[in-house]
Amino acid sequence: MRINYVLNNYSLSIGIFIIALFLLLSFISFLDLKLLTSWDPNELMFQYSNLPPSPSHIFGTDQDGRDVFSRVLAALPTDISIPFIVAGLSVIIGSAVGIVAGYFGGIVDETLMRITDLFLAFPSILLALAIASILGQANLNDRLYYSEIALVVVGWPVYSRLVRGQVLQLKGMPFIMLARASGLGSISIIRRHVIPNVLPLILVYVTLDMGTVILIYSILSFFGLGVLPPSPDLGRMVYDGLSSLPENWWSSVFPAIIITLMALGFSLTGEGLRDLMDRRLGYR
Amino acid sequence: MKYKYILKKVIGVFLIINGELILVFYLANVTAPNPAAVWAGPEASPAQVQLVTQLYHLDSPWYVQLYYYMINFYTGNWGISPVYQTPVISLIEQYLPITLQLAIIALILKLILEIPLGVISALRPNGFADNMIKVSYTIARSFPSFLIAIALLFAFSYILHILPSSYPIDPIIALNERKFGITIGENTYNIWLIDNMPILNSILTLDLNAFISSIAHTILPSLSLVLFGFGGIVRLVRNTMVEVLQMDFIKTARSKGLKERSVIMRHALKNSLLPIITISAIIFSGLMQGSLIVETIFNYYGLGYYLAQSILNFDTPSIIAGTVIITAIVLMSNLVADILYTYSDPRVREAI
Repeated sequence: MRINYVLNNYSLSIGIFIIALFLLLSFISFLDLKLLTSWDPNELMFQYSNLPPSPSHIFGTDQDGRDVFSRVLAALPTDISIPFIVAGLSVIIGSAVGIVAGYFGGIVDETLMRITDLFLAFPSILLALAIASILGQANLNDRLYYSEIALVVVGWPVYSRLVRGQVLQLKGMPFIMLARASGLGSISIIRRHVIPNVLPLILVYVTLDMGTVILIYSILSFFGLGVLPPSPDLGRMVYDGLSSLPENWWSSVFPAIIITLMALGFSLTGEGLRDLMDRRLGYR
Repeated sequence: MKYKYILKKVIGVFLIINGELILVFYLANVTAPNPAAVWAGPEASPAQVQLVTQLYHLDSPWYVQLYYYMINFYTGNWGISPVYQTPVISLIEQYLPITLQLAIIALILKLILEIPLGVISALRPNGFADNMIKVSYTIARSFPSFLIAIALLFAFSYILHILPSSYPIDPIIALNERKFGITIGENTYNIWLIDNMPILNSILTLDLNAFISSIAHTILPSLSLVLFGFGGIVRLVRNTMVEVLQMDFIKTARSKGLKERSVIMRHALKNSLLPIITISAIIFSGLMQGSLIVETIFNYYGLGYYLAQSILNFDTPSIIAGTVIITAIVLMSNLVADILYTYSDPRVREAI
């Protein structure tokens, strides 16, 4: 069918286009926000409060008179870097655990997998919220780092499960046995034969996971556990706008739409990559 | 054999809850530079801090603290909320039933909506309906829960004006609501779980006004929970059913001349429903967590709302108790699902 065709062939390009657009925008905004908008994201101008969207304020202004569009742009660098940092750290920790567990087996595998199961059993969003808020309370200025730590704590077990399964499959294959028979050490086998073979699958999962990380981080930020105000953060902007619903819908709806677009970009790319990989391997 | 299996699962749940307790204890009492400030809240006076230090034995070594923390948890002494100045356990007693009611209604609605869609998808894999459902699934997964809730709030409450925008029940109706009680002899016993579930309470006390009001107030929050993460069950039913439809007994059923309807409903669907037991528990966990956002947006005063407010106010005793209690409920529902699955699938039943 046509929709399927479009989905399979364009989801990768649409996804990559969205991600690239956001990366570009956040890079420019990181360098100098003045290149994109003339409004200051943090300056309070009560004479301009709650203006509807118009050519000069594309997304309108919030209750403190700040331009929503410039605040969204100013929030982008942090919000786009978080999935990369969090998913990157989760992958490194999770894959290390998974490879060790799968490759060495026995009691090591048993212990590591019990710990993984323990972390998988917790309701993840809730655990992240609890960790970030308890740690964040002690030190308000470092809340963002604590939120990232919380996201990594709930993020790594998925990878360790996934990678362990892959390594177990690989371990039985002839080329690994041959490598071992030819006298290659465990570390070299892992580095040269195991990791390159696990990598494509991990890449697909990371991309899909980054979309999820954006959504969970937006929840943390919604509850004020992200960037310290008055610096803008997309999730927090949604929460702050809630009090002025329904008349001034723009100050919470536009940031929410931006979050959706970012998450959509990653999940479309992930789906596209998965499709590509399936086709390469001849599953389809 | 079966009892051994169940016992093993129960011990697992017990260990995981303790694991979470210890993890949270470690965060709040060991890693924090000043645990007393964490437990007493950010705006505590020195006298309050001192009181809290004594109350939770914060000046003792960590293992003594851990001992008292665990003892307190199992005796229902979950600390005092610095924001509400009441014992946390009474707050949870008040708020938990509302969220449970919301999550259960949302789960039932989700099953009613998603299973038929899964069947439609499975009847023609890669057909038009299947593809449309697949596309909407991909897109729905990227929607943050608050956007869905805000959209519904706008459409039905602010533009169409047909559904209320906040509270679990109309506050005026709630004021003169009768509470359900069981009378034995001369004493009337109230059950807190029912007392705090507006819908169930209104059914049991035969209060039509309260029933209509609480249903109307619950539609939007439960609908946003349904749409949040929509498509998980659809995909599961579709994939299982596509597999089942290719099995031999379906061919047999068709070749002995059964009507297509009966083949689908009686033979194929019945055999595709088993995995739903397991995924229902996972989805229930998602609903309990989603309640934090949904209840905040709709001012639906349940555990999710209470927990969200605690996070916003740094009310640590409430955050800890709320997190642990939701984890416990989620794990219990997983356990029940596991046991149900074991008993309903003969292949699994024989295997253990």
